[in-house]
Amino acid sequence: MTAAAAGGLRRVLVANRGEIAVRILRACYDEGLETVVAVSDADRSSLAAQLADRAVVIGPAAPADSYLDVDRILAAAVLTGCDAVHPGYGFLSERPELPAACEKAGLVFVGPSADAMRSVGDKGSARALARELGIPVGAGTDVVGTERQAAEAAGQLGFPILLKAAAGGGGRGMRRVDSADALPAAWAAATGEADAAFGDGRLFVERFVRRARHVEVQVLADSHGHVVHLGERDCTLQRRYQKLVEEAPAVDVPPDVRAAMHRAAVRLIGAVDYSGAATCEFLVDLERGTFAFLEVNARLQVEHPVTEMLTGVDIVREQLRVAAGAPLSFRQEDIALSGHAVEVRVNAESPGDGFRPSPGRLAAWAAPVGSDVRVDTACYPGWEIPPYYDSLLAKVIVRGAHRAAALARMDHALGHLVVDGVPTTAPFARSLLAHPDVTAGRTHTTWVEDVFLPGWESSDVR
Amino acid sequence: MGLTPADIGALLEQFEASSWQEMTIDIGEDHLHVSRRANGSSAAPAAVETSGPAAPAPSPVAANGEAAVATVAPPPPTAPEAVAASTVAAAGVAVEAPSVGLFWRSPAPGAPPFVDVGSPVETGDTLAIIEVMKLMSPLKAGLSGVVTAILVANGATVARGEPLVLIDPER
Repeated sequence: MTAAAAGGLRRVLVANRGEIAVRILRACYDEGLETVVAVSDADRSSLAAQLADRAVVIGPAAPADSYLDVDRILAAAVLTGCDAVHPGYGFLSERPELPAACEKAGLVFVGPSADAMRSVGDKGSARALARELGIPVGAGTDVVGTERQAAEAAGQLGFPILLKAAAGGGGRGMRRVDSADALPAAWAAATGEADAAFGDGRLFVERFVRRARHVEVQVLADSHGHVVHLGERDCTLQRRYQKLVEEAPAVDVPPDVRAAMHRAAVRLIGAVDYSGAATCEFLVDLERGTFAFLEVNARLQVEHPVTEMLTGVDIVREQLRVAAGAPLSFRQEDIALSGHAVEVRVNAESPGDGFRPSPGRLAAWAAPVGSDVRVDTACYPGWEIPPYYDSLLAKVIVRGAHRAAALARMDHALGHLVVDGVPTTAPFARSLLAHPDVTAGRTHTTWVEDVFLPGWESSDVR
Repeated sequence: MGLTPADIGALLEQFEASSWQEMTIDIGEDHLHVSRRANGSSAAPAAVETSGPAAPAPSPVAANGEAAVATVAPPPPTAPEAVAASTVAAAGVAVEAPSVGLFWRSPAPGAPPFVDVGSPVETGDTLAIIEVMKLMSPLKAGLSGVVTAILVANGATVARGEPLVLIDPER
């Protein structure tokens, strides 16, 4: 929107990998900043390593000894003369140890302070804060330490329940549990997964809401007291709590409910000394027409481009500006929420084989281009996709004057994606978006598993 | 350019502030190894050894195109777990990796392993976890018997079809 203003900064360490590392590099260049990317041994030939001014190998492939190691990230930043660290999403992005360590080392963390991250990022304290502010909160517990505590909580809430990782999102460490018998296995799986993904195996328990839409509000705040929202995103189309498709504005949610969520999100983030990007997640109960606060993600989200396509705001550039101490480049009244944007996640998975992850060599890759089509990716022809990290290959984002136009454009774009060497979820996403329930907006968070997949798996078109 | 005295000073400061026991840095042809243990004595001050050509080493900053890669990596705190049992002496049917991935012997870090050499197993028992792109899948025993060998180390990357565990059905 305005000229580069992250002028207090000079060189940024990108402490992440994959498409988000590439995305952050581009925002840095737009802001006139030099870049260093921290890579694991397995990512030496990644696109980010090629695009950055400099790449530093921080450790072996295993995330615990590379992307999740605060000491190594800090060492890489200090030794390459960086003055700021951008954590991206996942990995260390929601761990207060990283901003705390950055502050100690005299580095700018591109995100909230450790204190702000703790007060909204910890699910227990965020829920307490929401309750204090009169924001409706879903039924659930604070962090529970043991399977027995989870069983007690489930006894009070009633099955089905959701186990969720206290430390992070992205569906990692999340399990729906329908009965007490299924709890021990689900507990072990969820805590193991959370520990592997976030280095923190703590969980909490939530009542499972049937027929809900997952809606989240994007907020940006600066250190000059401005807190604005960029509207909401609808992430209802999920499979096993992994988002498949995101869109904005929310589908089939009344304008007054949307506006109430926007206000709640701004109030919540405004109540703590927060600067940077934050997302407030809500569940909209379709049967009751009500919403309940779930959690705050105190970081950039995977699906942030949906909002960027809708509003024209570059969220990562704003993050960098705010981190440098500058005010946001726009005010609430500058934001127009018109048209419709859709994002599809293209994963290296085999939908016909239970969505089995499929690392391997990318023999061919050509992303669709066109007006109102954007592709965020780290793919290039010949890239050896490593087995150590998530399966996200690309995010295809489109914009249209209205929802039907956006969906048609997405179908067109996915049809022009050229990929060979590994199976992807792109053909699956095309069938999904063509389903009459999707085009009519009649879906909920378990619709893909309950309704779509059974029919799709028995059909010949897949 | 290689490592300058200022670089080494900064590296040592970083090392001092860390909880690392050892640090190895390779930049171009320069090699720097720092350890808190001099000749195995943990009480001794940090020992520093450097090697490398006196002539300027290539700069780790690439002008453009492909980025140069420097390495900042302390060695793992413990040596990789030794491969259990002798693969020569062990007899049995191999359970193979269903896909490429990481081989984990326990359900969580620090937890006891699913099986050890000598463990009796039933068909369908979980022997290990194969992690592929953050998805954890149990490796199940395809037959009953006794585990006679575990052929790969915990945390190792395995290829599709690689033999992982031997089970002797006769025992």
